[in-house]
Amino acid sequence: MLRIALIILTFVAPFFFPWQITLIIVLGAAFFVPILGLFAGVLTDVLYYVPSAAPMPVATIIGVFIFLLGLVVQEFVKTRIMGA
Amino acid sequence: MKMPFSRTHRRRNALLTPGMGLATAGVVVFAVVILILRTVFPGAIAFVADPLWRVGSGLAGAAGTTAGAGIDQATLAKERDQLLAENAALRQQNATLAARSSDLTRLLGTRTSAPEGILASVLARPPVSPYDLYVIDQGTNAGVRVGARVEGPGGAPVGTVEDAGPATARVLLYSATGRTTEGWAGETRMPITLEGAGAGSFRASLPRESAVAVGDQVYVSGDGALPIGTVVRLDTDPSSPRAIVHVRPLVNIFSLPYVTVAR
Repeated sequence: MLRIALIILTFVAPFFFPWQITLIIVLGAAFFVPILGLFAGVLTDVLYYVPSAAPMPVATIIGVFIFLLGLVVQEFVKTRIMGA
Repeated sequence: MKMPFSRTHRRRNALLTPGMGLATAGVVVFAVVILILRTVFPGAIAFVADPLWRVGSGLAGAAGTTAGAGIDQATLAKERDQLLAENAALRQQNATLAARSSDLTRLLGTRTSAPEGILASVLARPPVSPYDLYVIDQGTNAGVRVGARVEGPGGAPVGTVEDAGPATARVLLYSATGRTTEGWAGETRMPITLEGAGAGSFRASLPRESAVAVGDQVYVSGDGALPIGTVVRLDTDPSSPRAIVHVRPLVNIFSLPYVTVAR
């Protein structure tokens, strides 16, 4: 249920919320579902990126970092649970 | 004691599990499909996103109204008195300008009437869009073309069309980070290169001895010199021959509901 809510929230955030709020939502969501970071980054650039705005699609790059961060955090949490 | 080999253990410890790899591949495929869609059918994404942008824009407006309900009565009364006084002054000024306009129209006819632009509603604006960019609800079907100048109320220039689909267009604001625009500053029309600083503001570098001062208007070229902002701060350093000029835009880019696209 939480995962579904996070997926929906991540999907609508780039349409409704300021990018700072979207970033916080995606950071939170990526701890549970890391791929949402990448998804939100790609979606944001699909909606708003034009080549003259920035040399590179910044949102996608941030999305990749959040995805990797989410993977590491999730793995860390798993390891702690297993070690306990 | 020797630990038994477990395949599931190995899988659980791997950073990129098979499921995650599949999901990554899915996102990459999604990105490629979207890229193709955006290139071949530029209107398809806007068609899907348009209702969501409209709902978002409406919700933002409703949230603003609700937030305003919390202001206390004394502040509201004070604000009302100020607005009444301002309204009276503006009415007087309007009457003067109307008389002058009437005299000039009688003298010159309507030759000076400005060309009509395309009125467009802003669907997405900063800070929802992370780049200083507007998404507007008019596209090539309405005559919007790439490179056209976009103006706010009173003809204040805000940006240019960078990408136009059939029903929507993306407008890159002059204040986009790193974007440079040539213009003039002050009554002496000192040439100036405005550099976008994001969030609607600009910066420029000028010789320290230039005649530009706080409060001067800054203009960009268009149909004559179009005012784009006001100098709000001058940063000088005794060790540097140049001063950094900070410019605040005339229009609030965060709350502009409509814009006009030049034909």
